Amino acid sequence: MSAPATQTAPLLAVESLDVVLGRGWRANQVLSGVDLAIEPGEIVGLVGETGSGKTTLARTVTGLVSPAGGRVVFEGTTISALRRGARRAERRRGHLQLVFQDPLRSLDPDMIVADIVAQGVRLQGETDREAIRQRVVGALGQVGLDASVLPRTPGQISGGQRQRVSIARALATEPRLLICDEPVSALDASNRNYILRLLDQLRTSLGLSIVIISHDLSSLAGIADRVAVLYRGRIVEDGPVDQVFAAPRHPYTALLMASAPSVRHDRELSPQQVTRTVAEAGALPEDLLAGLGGPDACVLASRCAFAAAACTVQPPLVAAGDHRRVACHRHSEWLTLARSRAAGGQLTTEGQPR
Amino acid sequence: MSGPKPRKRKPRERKARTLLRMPSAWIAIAVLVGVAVLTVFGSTLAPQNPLTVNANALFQGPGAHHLLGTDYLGRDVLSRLMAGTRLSVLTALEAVGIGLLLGTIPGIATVFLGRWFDFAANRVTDALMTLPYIFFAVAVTAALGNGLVQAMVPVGILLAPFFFRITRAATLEHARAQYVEAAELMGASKLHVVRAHVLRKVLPTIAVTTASMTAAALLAVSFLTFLGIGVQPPAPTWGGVLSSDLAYLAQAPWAPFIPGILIAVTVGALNALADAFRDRRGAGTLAQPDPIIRTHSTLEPADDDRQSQVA
Amino acid sequence: MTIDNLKSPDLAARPAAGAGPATGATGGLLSLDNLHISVHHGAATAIRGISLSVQPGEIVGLVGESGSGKTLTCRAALGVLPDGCIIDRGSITFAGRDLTTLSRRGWEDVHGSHMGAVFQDPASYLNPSITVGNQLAEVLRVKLGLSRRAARQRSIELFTSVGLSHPEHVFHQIPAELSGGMLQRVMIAIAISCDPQLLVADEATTALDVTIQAEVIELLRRLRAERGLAVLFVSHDLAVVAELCDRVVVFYAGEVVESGPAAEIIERPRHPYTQALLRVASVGDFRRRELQVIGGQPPQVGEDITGCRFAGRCPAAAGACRSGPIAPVTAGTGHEVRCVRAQEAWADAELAAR
Repeated sequence: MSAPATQTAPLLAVESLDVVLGRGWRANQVLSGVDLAIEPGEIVGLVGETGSGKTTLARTVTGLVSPAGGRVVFEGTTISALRRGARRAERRRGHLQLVFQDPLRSLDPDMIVADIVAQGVRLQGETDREAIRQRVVGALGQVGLDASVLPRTPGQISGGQRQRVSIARALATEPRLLICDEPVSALDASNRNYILRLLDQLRTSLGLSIVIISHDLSSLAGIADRVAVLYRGRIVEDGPVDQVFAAPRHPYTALLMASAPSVRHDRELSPQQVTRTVAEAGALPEDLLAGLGGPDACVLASRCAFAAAACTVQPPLVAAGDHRRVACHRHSEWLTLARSRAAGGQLTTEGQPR
Repeated sequence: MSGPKPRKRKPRERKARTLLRMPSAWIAIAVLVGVAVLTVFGSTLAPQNPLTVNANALFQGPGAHHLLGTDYLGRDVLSRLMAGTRLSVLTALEAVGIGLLLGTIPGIATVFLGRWFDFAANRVTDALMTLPYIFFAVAVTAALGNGLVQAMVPVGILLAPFFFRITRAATLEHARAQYVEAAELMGASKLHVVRAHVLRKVLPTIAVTTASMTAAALLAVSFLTFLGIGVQPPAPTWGGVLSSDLAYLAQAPWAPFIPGILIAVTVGALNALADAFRDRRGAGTLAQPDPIIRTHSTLEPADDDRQSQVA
Repeated sequence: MTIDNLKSPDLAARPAAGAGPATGATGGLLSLDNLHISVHHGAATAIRGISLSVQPGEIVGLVGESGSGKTLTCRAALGVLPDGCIIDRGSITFAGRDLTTLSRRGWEDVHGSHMGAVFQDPASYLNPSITVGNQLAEVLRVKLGLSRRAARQRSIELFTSVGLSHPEHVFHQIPAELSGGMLQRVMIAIAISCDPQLLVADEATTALDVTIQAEVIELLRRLRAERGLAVLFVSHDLAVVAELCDRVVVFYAGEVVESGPAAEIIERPRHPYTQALLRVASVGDFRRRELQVIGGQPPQVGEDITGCRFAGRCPAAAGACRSGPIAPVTAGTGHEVRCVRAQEAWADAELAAR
């Protein structure tokens, strides 16, 4: 994030992160040059569809995956360089916590809630049973659960409660930053809003920073201050949420907004207005098409309706307004072009080939 | 938002109850309890002295005085089998114990100790599995002296690979679980992870394997004593009785059936118990979704159901 | 015939609201009349008095929480009720045929040639070791008696018509090589391969990325326009239903609480539950705002409740709501509500403020 003269270091700084998964011929660059900064007390949404690398980003920040390039700095320490004992010690501090996507998998089915929530506290070295109990009950209280769930196993409580137990486990160690990977994807609208509201309240009451990683916009709707859009391993746009959604600077962001279902039909653009149709693809010269599909091209070039010769090279993420960044060669022109495109009727090219 | 009422019984209790409901489990347990009693009290419970030779009562069939007849030296077969239970069973357990220790500890550790250790452990396992136990036993008794205790050591060593493989597979499955990752993210050491998460889940698999391996060990004991390896006559063993019976088949054709059935029934009971243990393990760990109401929705109502993965 | 020659309806215009007469058993393609279904071998009545109909070429949306009975209703219509489910009362008619008494031979005829279905997780409905092309071709050979070559030809045509851009290539791929969106298109191709009149889509887009979801919704619209395909679309997400459907049927605790033209239900919902659903649904601008929840829990399946089943959570519940069964009343053309307070105007002001 472009913070020109800010003096206080951000809580979390991800710098030029490159992550490669797999070895040898199966190696796959999942993240490229990701730059992100999280300040204390803010909620940042990270939006990305399948294959965007968002879960890998969460796993890399927390140290489950080692980056091939770049680093992750948390509270002044380069945590991506820590190993073994030092890394364990840093984790035990409990200032950075990850809430996994699926509580059915991330909670041990044979442990009772009391032990699950207490695990982090015990790992911090706390041995006094009463102190542990108080922190557990406190954490559960913060997510709206009472002591009745303490003796139950995850299988004996509802899905919404499980998700809250998962959050409570993360809260028990009094973290400064919570990374939530798809916290509400498996919930219906009402439960989803409940959890999101809860996260917002936690941010206010505990001064927490929260990163919400999601594949769709409705999962961070209403509570995020900033949003970063991830596509195929790169941040294509980020900035204050109101601005990004009111006036997206990147065609992919516009595509996300155009695709998101809504009970109100007041969207400005349709998905067809930003994606290239089969006919248009056919009309492009062969070598340009090949260049746009190449490995160095802009990540959206193979689908983008506005891809031009310049787009055979990946655009850098540059400042584009107040605290906004965008990675698009044509970010100032595509919107006008889009408005004049037909709103529907043509078939678009199918999504990314595997 | 309140959840549903908790189940009335704890998960462990329900598992035990399900286990006890199966008739095969009942029979198996009964047989094994009987064998256990004989192991401890066989000599005292035997109606007659198993070593008493009675030249006047050779090859007698089952009768009032000798319930299972007599052998080629006039000794009471029933008493010999009862007294022989201890030696057979204890040495089988000795072998299983050795196999258990040598197999399960590396089996769990290998998942956490890195690729090289795993590679080495697997190759050692492969090598051990190629050895035929009879010859190994002969070699060891030749080196350490002829005794059943010594003879069961090689059997134990050769059981270890099975324990290793099965424990390793079970541990792998649980070590990759997301809750293990969650624990690691909170700073848990590998040892903590094993203690808190893995051990409890691997124990049932180990129990099942132990039951099966005990059956195998018992067969091994019987065969070794049948061949005369490790036997110090006149101490009775099941295999020894079987062996001498076969030598005198012409005089007493019914005789080998008796120890044979005893061995088979005990081995069968162990395997049946292992099966029952394995079958009931599937139920009762996590609440199963109601297939009628929650068919294909990943979404949460008030109640639990499975969730699909979103990449 | 290239893809681009096909027309699809303009996105902005909705099909004529009079896409059929009022709900209830007044004929049409599929008609459910006063359906009662009990589960667990009669232990609980899960569906109570459901009536709905689908006209030819109409897209009807079933919306409601998980457990509300919408999936069970679909399954009943498809003849694939799980063990232990019994249709106690009521009728299911398809093109004049009574489905409740249909023999196995009858169902074999109906499945595929008259009714097709797609479900949520396409990968689990496909054989992982056979190419998707062969799986579709097999259906064509079995049901339509096509030769191997003709089936292959037709399969590729079908893949093209569902928007797969390299159909000959996709033909030879196994499910693991295809993305979720592509697999769902394959499933749709299989479902429409024998030209059914009705497609049942049960949470078909729930697990898809939002851009792919938009494409699949567009595909369904196009199939309706080209083939006159009627769709019974089940979803928990009111926003998706609002995007796609001509008419909406709102389920709650095994009953239909409101049904009518989609535009009308969204503008002027009459049932408090529908209003609650609207309050929590995706609005589409994703700004920071106050997130709403629906308090309380739905009743247990089959729970015996006198009066309105939503009364326990309803902000407007009165004595009359609990005294006896609530009959549906008309609240507009083709618009029915099961609420005794539906006619009152108290809700309008609240909604206008949203």
